[in-house]
Amino acid sequence: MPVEFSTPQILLVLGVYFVVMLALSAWARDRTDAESFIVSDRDVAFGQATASMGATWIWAASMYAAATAAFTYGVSGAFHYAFWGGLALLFVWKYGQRVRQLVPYGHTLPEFIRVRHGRLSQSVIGLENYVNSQYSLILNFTAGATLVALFSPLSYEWALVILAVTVVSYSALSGIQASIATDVVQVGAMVIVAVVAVPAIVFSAGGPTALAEGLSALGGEEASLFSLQAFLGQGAPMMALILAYAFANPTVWQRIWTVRERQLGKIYITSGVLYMALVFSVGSLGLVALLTGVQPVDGDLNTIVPAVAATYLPTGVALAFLVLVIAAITSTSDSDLAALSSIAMTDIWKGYISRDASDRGLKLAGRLTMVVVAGIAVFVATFRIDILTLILIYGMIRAASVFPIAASIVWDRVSNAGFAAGIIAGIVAGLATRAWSTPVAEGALAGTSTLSRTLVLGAVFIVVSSIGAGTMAGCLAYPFLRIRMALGIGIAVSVAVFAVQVAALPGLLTYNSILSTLTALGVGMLVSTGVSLAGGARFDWNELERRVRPVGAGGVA
Amino acid sequence: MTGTMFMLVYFLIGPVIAAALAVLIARAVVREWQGR
Repeated sequence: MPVEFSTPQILLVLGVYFVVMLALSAWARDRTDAESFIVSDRDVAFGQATASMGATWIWAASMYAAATAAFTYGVSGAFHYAFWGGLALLFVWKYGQRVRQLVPYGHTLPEFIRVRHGRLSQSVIGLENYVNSQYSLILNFTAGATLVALFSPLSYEWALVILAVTVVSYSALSGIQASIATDVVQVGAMVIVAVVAVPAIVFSAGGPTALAEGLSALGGEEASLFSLQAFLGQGAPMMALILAYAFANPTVWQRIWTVRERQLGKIYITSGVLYMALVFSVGSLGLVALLTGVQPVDGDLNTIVPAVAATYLPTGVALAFLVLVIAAITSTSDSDLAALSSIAMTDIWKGYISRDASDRGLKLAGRLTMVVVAGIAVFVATFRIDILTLILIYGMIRAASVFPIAASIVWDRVSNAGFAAGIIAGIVAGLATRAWSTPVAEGALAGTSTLSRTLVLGAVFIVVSSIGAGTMAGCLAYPFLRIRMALGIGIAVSVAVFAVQVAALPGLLTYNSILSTLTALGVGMLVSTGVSLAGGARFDWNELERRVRPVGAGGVA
Repeated sequence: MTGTMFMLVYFLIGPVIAAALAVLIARAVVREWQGR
């Protein structure tokens, strides 16, 4: 154990943090109606909006996983994590801008999907959004409590409760308004630590010259910016899901309707670049650990960043590092709470329970939702329930829904049946790929699988996953280019990925997670397109604006 | 580029970009909060 803070030290830090966040939330609460609880005044300007999106997008896993990637893969590890994660925000805003124009008074993605398609499709996307934020809450609470317990005498359970109570208290005060005001301070804390502490650690660890010597001693793939191993292990799975990360995340969508409309692009692009810079800065400490021999505490890779900080910084500054992690964790958690409460208020309370709900009733529903989902997160985190199966299915929903969501925003031919069928077929295909692709590849390698089985199943996986890669490329390109060019890019990427897969046979079939993700994407696109075109319907975009109004006393959905 | 130079750029590029963006954002936030 490199350093342990005393109980008074840690309680003082957590206490001051709690009071500052609560005071900020109270100060930010300038409107008290239900609509403002969800989308503020729909005109949050560049500074606050960018800080908020940046702080929300950086969660515990960004810091840990980037550092772990650098520790595992060397110089290119942190780059892959930071770059592809940030790119999601740079690509999603065009879709967001289009949705905002279609439904200016919208609140959530499930609400948009309901008026675009119907209740079945709304439920699928609502579930996807819920699982995304519930999982994020569980992971963030677990990460925060683990760290506090590791570096202080405070128990894991107490740390968990303190974190949850802190976040729920200030979030429940004013919803998205609290989230944005606290995000500004939280991102400030992250910037100070990245800008001051990261260079301080680098120079304290011997400076660039000593680290360069360590790098040349390391050699091989770990010293290369273009490591194939890092690309396949870290970069490619993230690339395959760029748009899916943003589409599935309700915090991204809530801000689409919260920020100033004409600054939407500027806000999302700047926060994406801020994410890259901050996550890369902190992630690069994983390389410092690798080069100087700092080991994670108890072998837990999640402790690399604080372990490096505690090794090379005096106790006071190391304590500031803990605040950085807590800021990253709470800024994402308060946004998840705000986003889930907005779904509960708009899609469930207003949609199913009380169409004429009052402001008071809606806000009560939102606050109760925050308490319940935070309670579930603490429960799961306390008992360390294995949620792997849930996450596996969620990953497939996320991949399978990329094309149906993107197409529903820009293409009038996508129908309710096409939307739902595409997602369901994509999930099934993704799970099947996950179960069968490795045995097929291993069978082929060992010679135990029949040739026909290997050929048929292998060919299906390779063809459909290649189409999935092209689908993602086309969806990324479409908002920025003409449809023909986006189609051309999609087809070119499909052919290139197909060629690489055939050339590398059967190697890539064993990269189970990329292959199943891409298959879910490809099947989602093929089935959604097929079913929609067979139905022959065309959607009238003018329908949308009329059907979405503000919630609360002033709005009738 | 020498190894030392590479390491210097590698470790400082993130903090430098973050600092530049932070200044941009902070100036905007101050203006927005003054207008409240």
